[in-house]
Amino acid sequence: MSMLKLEKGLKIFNLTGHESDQRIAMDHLDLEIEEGEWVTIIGGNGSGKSTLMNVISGVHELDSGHLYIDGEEVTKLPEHKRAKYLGRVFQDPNMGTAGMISIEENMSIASRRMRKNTLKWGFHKEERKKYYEMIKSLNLGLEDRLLQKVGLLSGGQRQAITLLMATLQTPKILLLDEHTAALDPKTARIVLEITEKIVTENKLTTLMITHNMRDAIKYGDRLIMMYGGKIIYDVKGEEKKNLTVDFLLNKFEEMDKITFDD
Amino acid sequence: MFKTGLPYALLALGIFISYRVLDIADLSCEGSFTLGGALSAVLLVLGWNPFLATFMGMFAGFLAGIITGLIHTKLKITSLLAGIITMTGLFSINLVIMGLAPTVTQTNINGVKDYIISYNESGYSALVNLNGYNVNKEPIVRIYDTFLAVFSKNNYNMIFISLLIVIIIGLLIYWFFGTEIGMGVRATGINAKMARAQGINTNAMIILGLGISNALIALSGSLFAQTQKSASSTMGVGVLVIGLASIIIGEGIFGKRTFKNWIISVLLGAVVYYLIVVVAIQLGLPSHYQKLLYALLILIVLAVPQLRKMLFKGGKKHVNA
Repeated sequence: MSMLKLEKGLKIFNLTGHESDQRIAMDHLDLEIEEGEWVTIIGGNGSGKSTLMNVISGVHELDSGHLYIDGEEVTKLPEHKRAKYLGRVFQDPNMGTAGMISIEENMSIASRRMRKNTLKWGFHKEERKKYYEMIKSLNLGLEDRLLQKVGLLSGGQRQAITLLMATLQTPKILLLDEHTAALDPKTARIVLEITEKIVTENKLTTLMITHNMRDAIKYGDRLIMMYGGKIIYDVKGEEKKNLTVDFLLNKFEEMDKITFDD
Repeated sequence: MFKTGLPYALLALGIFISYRVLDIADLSCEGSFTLGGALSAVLLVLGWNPFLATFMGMFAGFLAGIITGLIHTKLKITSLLAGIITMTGLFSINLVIMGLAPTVTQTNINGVKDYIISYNESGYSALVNLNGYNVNKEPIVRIYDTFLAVFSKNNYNMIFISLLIVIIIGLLIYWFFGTEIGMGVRATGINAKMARAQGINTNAMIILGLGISNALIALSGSLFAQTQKSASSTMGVGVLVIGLASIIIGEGIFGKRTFKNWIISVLLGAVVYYLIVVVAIQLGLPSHYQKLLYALLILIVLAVPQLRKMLFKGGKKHVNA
């Protein structure tokens, strides 16, 4: 059974209610992702890749169509209730963590993602050791700063912590929304290496949006190219491994040409 | 002089929860402060147990906060407007509640003027007096006249009992914000997107947080009315500024390094704030200058970090990155 299944997903944004002001962000999209598959998604601005993430995570509700996670229909499930299935890392490093509380408090909130919060104390001393080990495995020297506020960390460090938080409780799907786009090249490299380690070690079903074609080819086992709210290219296996950046760029140009010819 | 200052500590803590923890400027506090005072006062006049009357005042504030929270989260109206709507509505509701006390009957026994009940209404204002007898013709028993009043001097009792309540509430609030749900409220205030991604129902947390905030503010109003021995329909005017000033002064003097430290700072900030006001009045500040003093106090505390920079760094301008 597929881990993620989107059937005829339609999402239209409309600013005023007039038909002239509407934009089809997701155009009857069908997408099926197998368990353990790591899919990289590329596409220009406005191609619908972020909409896809937001529809999966519940930030936006579908206008029509159906969405299933691990066989369960979640089309109408609000964002916070879908969180138990999903680990999410955002483009903005400030978005995935709460800056005004400590690293371990952030981690403890994440460790309770799968269940309802209660009036039990929100942090136990035994958790500290677990978090220490996890953070130590990042090799960023953050393990001795558990009590520091996350707001003091750099963007790359915050993304690494967000990655840990997203996967602390194994999610059914990991959503990476351009999570290295705001980082400098060196830091982006480090965060991607950490991502690869976590994804492969836990065999996570992963969707990763990226603007970097090289990364899209290098990482994952399937590549999807989006344009105008549709999937225009979908490869996996050997064919994906043999892709080149030039080939993908040509593909984009072809699409632009077709659209302008219309 | 601490007797009316201590209830303000709870006011400051309540406003701290909306303004600092949830990051929402909730204007319903002016209404819920009066609501707590008015309802408790009326219930005392009607002969209720003072603990129950005080609790009901607090509970009414909780409901008021929940209404603001529902207007904000479910009807998607900005928090500032949601608070104004609740505050405006509460003004009438408070008058109606105060109207539940029977109107004034003054009798003179042994030449002493005795209020059985005092309720005056003149257009838009009302007053419930706690200085006499309740409907059962027994002396009104405030929370400060119960078995907790172990001192012989009335003022000491007011300070002692208020302090006791402030400490208990302070501990309860510290405990609550350390629980999983409390952490959920805090995370919602810091970063709602992150909170939702971590499975926290941010709307529910905002509603709950505003409920608790306004419950504390109403409790403060209830205690305030009982120390003053009267509740008026305008007693809540300006409490938002008092609360904000207390928070800012407390943070400025006592810091906000940890959450525990932060709560204590806010509680102490209210006391310091009150001290400053009392000293100013003792030194002969006319009462109509009070609000100007409040404004200057807040301005000074907020400006201190910037002034310090200007003074100690050779007056150079620093741009915050």
